[in-house]
Amino acid sequence: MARKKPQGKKSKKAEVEEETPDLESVDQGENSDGSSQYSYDGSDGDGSQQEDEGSDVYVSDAYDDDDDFEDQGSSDEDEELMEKQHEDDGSGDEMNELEDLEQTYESAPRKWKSGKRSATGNPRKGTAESQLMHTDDLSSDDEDEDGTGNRIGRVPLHWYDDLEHIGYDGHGKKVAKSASKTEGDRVDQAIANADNQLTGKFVVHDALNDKSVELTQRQLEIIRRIQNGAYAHPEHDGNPDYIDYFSGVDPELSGLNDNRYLPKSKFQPSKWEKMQVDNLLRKLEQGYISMDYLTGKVRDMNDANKNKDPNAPFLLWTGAEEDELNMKKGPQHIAAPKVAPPGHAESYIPPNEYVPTEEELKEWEEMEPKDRPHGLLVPKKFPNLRSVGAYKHSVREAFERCLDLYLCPRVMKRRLNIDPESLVPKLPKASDLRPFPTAKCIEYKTPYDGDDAPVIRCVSCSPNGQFLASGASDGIVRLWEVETGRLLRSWDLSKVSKSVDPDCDEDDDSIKPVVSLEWNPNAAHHCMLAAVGKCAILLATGTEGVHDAAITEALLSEAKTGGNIKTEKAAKAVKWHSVKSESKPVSSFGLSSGPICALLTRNEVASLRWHTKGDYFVTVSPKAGAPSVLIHQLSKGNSQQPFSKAKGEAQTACFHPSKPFLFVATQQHVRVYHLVKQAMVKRLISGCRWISSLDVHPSGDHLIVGSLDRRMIWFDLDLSHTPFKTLKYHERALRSTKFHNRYPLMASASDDGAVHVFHSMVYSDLMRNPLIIPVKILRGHSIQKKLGVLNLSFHPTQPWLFTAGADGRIFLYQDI
Amino acid sequence: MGNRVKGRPKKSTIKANSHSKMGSKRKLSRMGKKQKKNHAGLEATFIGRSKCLKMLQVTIKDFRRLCILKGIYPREPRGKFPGHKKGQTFYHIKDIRAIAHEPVLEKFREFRTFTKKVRRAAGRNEQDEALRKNAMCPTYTLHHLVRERYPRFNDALSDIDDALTLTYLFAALPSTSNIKSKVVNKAKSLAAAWGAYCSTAACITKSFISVKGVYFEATIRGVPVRWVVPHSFTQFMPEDVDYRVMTTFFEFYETLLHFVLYKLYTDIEVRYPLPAEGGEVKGSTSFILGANLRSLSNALNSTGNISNIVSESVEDGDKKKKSGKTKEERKKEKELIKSVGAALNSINEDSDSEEEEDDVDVAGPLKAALESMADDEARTVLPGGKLELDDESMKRRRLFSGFKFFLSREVPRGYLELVCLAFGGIVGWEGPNSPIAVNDPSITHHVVDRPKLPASYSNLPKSREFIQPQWILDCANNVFLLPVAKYTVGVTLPPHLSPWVDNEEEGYKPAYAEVIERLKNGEPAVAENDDQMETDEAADDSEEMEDAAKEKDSDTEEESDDDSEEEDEEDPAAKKKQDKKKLAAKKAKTEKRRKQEEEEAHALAKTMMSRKASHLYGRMQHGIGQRNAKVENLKSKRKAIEEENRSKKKDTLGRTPLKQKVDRLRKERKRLEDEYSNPTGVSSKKKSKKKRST
Repeated sequence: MARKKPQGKKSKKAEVEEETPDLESVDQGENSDGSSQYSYDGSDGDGSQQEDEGSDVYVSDAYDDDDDFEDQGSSDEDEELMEKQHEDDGSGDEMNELEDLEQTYESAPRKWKSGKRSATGNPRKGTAESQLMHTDDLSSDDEDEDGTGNRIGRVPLHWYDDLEHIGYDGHGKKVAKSASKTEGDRVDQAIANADNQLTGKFVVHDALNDKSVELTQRQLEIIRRIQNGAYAHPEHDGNPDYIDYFSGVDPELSGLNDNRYLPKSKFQPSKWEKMQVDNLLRKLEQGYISMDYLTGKVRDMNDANKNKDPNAPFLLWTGAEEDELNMKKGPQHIAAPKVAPPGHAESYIPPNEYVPTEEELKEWEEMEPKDRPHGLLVPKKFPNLRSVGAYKHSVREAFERCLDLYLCPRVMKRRLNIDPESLVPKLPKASDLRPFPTAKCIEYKTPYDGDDAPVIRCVSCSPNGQFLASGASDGIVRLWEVETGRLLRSWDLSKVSKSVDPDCDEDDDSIKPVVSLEWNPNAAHHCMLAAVGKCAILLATGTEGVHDAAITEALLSEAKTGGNIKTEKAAKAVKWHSVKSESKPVSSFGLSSGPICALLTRNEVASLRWHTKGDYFVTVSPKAGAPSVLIHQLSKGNSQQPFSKAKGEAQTACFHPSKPFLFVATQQHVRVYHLVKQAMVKRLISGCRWISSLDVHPSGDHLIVGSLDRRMIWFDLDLSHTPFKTLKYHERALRSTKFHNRYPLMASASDDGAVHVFHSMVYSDLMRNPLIIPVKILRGHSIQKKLGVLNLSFHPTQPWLFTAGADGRIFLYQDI
Repeated sequence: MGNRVKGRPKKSTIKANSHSKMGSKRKLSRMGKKQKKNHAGLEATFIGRSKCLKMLQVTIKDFRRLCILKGIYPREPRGKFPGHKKGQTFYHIKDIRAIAHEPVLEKFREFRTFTKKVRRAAGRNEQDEALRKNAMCPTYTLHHLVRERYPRFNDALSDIDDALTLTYLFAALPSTSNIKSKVVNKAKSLAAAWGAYCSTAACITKSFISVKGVYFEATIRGVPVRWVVPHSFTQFMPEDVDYRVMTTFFEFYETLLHFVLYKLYTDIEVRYPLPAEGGEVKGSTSFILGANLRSLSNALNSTGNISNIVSESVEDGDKKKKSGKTKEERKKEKELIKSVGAALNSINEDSDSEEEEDDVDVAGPLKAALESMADDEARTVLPGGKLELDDESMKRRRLFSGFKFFLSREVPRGYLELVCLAFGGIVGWEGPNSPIAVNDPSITHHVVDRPKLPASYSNLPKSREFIQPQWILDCANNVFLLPVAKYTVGVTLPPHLSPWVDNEEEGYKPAYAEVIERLKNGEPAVAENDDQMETDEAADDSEEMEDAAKEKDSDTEEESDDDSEEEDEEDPAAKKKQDKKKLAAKKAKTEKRRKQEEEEAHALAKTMMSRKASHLYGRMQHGIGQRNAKVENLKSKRKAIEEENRSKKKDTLGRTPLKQKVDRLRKERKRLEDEYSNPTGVSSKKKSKKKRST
């Protein structure tokens, strides 16, 4: 009913008519029936409802609002309008008429059934029904093809009331009013209606064409259905039968649920399932689940795990550990030391000697518990087993052990399991290295007044080995005969020194000790030097024979005259004072003996050394500054000051035996100077604090240095400026070190009262190191005022050793 | 910082890298390669404790526990650590990295969250929730740590000393709030199992009653294991001891001991763990098991009766193996073992009889006992020779063989039984389940620790010796049966000496050790006076003898001098003799001189020692000096004590015992000489001189 068919270019009226073709036909039927123009023109528009009042307005409206009209072309509204128009007309007749009409519709025999199809879906066959069904002539939409109908469109019909015609047809010809239409025709109409009712005919008046139209059965049916709100077409089936396509229908035929071709997923193994299985396998391997769980014997693995003891032991070590051990990485394990096993003292009945005495107990109480010999335990003797109670500290000791195990830092310490004696070097037998001085043979007894013997500061042996000179702290130089120990001469040099020294007063009775003394090493030169106070005093020994007398005389002649120093600088530093003395010679050939000359320097002379040839000598006065080291030539009575600037405090100096070298020892270094080139050759670093003595090996290639900090240092001059060997064997300061002129011997004297004698073989082969072997320790001197042996001197030809001690004694050690 | 892991070296940018490479050759040649931080040296090897905590993100408490469980200890860096404070401890960085991967650490963390959850629930008063969560407490196992710390079984054995000592201590402790009864019970069962093994395997070599407790040493697979059993009295529990540390240690030791025992027991083919006390073994209604439990509970209470456990457990284990046996067989077994005591007897007898043969293995008796119980087939339990015994242990095992000890009520049964069994004896005791009754005539030694024998003992068979417990230990330590006389009831005991002290090495030998040695060498015991002090002085006696002899010598010398003067002219032989004497004197002199020379040479050689060597030498000499001083102290003390004793024992004439002895010896000698001289007719004087000259 609500169909709206776009019709293309047609007149408006035609459109409207076409909209409701069924009704149109009804109308026409009515018209043809001749029913007056009671306004069933609901199909024509809204305007008809205003019929009574003024149609002008209405028409204009209708015309104006074209679209609106079209929009409202719904059949429902038409129906409503229809009914409204019926009511608005107000004529009771008409109402009755209509009601009657309706009744007749209702009561009219229905010649059709509900438009059900048969099961086969085919429309039923039947005359009446076929009449009813599908009788709509749908061949053409045009109502009147021949154009004989009124075509005035939608204009109010009353416009034509005064005219003869009611409009124009398709060809433009006037359509004449039907002749039958009159005012008084209503009765006829009613009669006709009644007749029609009787005959079963329904006639309606078509006002437009001014003719009555008889409604067909189908049209009536449609109207009735519309009125009841049903589908208009009787053939329309509102509730079609359910067709069971999916189960009832043959799938093969229908094409639905066709299994002929399996989908891919049906034959492809599931990825998801594979994942799940993998997961389960993994869990099984790792022991999270068991086979029992997989087969469903155990519902929940948690239950299964609960029953198992996690700490149940099993065979942990199966025997394949060695390989694993090799694989093991990480830092080396340091096993904790075991607790020491108990000793006898921890017994409940220890032997009596293990029970601590009261003093020991007291001592232990003062100690920290860990320092005590048995820790917290105090050894105690119980009479029997039943009297032993619980140990009070057992829990504490266990706790401390625990703490040690996890808090104490551990370190791997290698325990030296060696025999201590293996550390002591094996030396060749001393007896194989003879000769060397072994025994004390002669003591040279120094006469003295008062209680204390004078300290013998220095000794020196004559080059022929017949005489020995010693200098003591009483300022006296004594001359001894070596073989007999007889005192031959003694000279008080303290007086000489004081007489020369202008700084000393006449009445000054202080005594200058003889600090250093050396016999002229030349056998033909019979003189010696002694250092006393500020002076180096030259002594004629008077020991010469008939041959040497002249030589010595010639040598000393310059000194006797007071020297002649050539350079001004040296003249400032030293002055030669000749000393007159009257004394007899020691031998019958001697010209004279005693001090001849005193060399006055600026400060105290500490050491003096001859050159091997016996003409030059060097004096060292440490505090004198630049002129501390002076070189003197005896034969010319000349002095030189080799250094214009002091480099450290010179302690001692000595000449190289064969080359023009001078060794000067300061406190920590030994400097080697070339006297001809006047340059420093080498500086030897001793490594000690204070050098006390210095000696050069007769070969001139080795040097030994003694120091006050107990060291004896050996330098190999060919090698380096650092020591070849440093020995530390004395208990106190070294005072003197000397080489023997002929034998491979070396000795050192120390304040500890001992003299160590070494076998010191030096090889001419440069590849061989010097051999230093201790052979003897000579003890004979006692220690006085912390001083022991102050000086030593080897016999020039024999393996004998003279030692001078602070106890005022001089010993000769010989090889026995 | 970025996302750089702390401790890693900072990565330099590409630009910086290229920049530094420019001219790097020159730089290298001038100053050497630049050392990167934390790449080498001590900083890369060692790490301080607080850094460890930061690295591992644990609390110090957890860190300590981890260290204990994992056996990680601080190490002393060899060199000087940069920024090292005094007393600071360092751990090896690899040790700490190993902790970082430790599953136990993960469990600790889990536990922390777990406690949080439970506490939260409890705090909200949600009791059900808290209980539910409480059941989900995370647990951890430690066996992987045992394997890690002790890759070989012998490693574990050699480090088991502390574990045993602590376990025995815990077993002796009262259960308090600090130490739960559960822990104590565990310790007890472990100790019992260990004791059972030791007594069965006869591996106990040394034992010693100290004030601290009883020390034992067992040699298992050649590894000596030593532990202390505290005296069975209530232990003093100090307040200031952190018991948590000890329990943590015990936690690990427990696992360790379990696995070690499992290995040991499986080696002798015995099921481990032994069936535990109480209703633990459920469903086993058989008679044997019941008996087993009873014996076990006994064993656990006193740590005694141990060998029974093993045998029973063997039986038990075996029974379990063949649970599919017919009823008849079971009945047969039941008949065979009427009671535990019977079983024990049979086993022990078997062992005795086997002891006679030389090829004995300890598992043998067990096997024999087992075989007697059941049919022959399917009995391939113990292929003989599982536990080979060497000569030493054979000797030990035979020491008490054939002896039956009966322990009196007051004697501590546990360890004495252990020693007796290990050395092949049979033990009975006063109380339930004893295999031997008090009045059994076969008992050889009755161990009593009372001032005197009670009257009730008078009607016991007279065949037994009454001894004090020390006798057993002293015999066992010396592997020699000492005379019982010194150990009878009521006497003052001789000193009990430690078997671990090597007297030769120590340089001092107590008197009683000398006595024992003499006895062992088969020398006759020194004439004993009634007072037992003499025994103490047995060694002194010999000394005294020597002294006396010397004195005598000097006397005779004087005499001879006199004689020589008299007989100068008349006897040229005398002159000859004198010459000889002079020669000897000279010889002595030269000897002395030689010695002096040697000493001097030594002193000279010492002067040539290098500084390092002389330092080391000095230190060694210092140590030797200290030890000697200790020995000297002991000697002087002993002398003083003897002197005191002697002065106490002066006789009526005021003579010291020494003097008495000298007199006695003189007399004796005179008599002998007389006897000797009279038959020959030569004058006694001459004889005596002849004797002297030789």
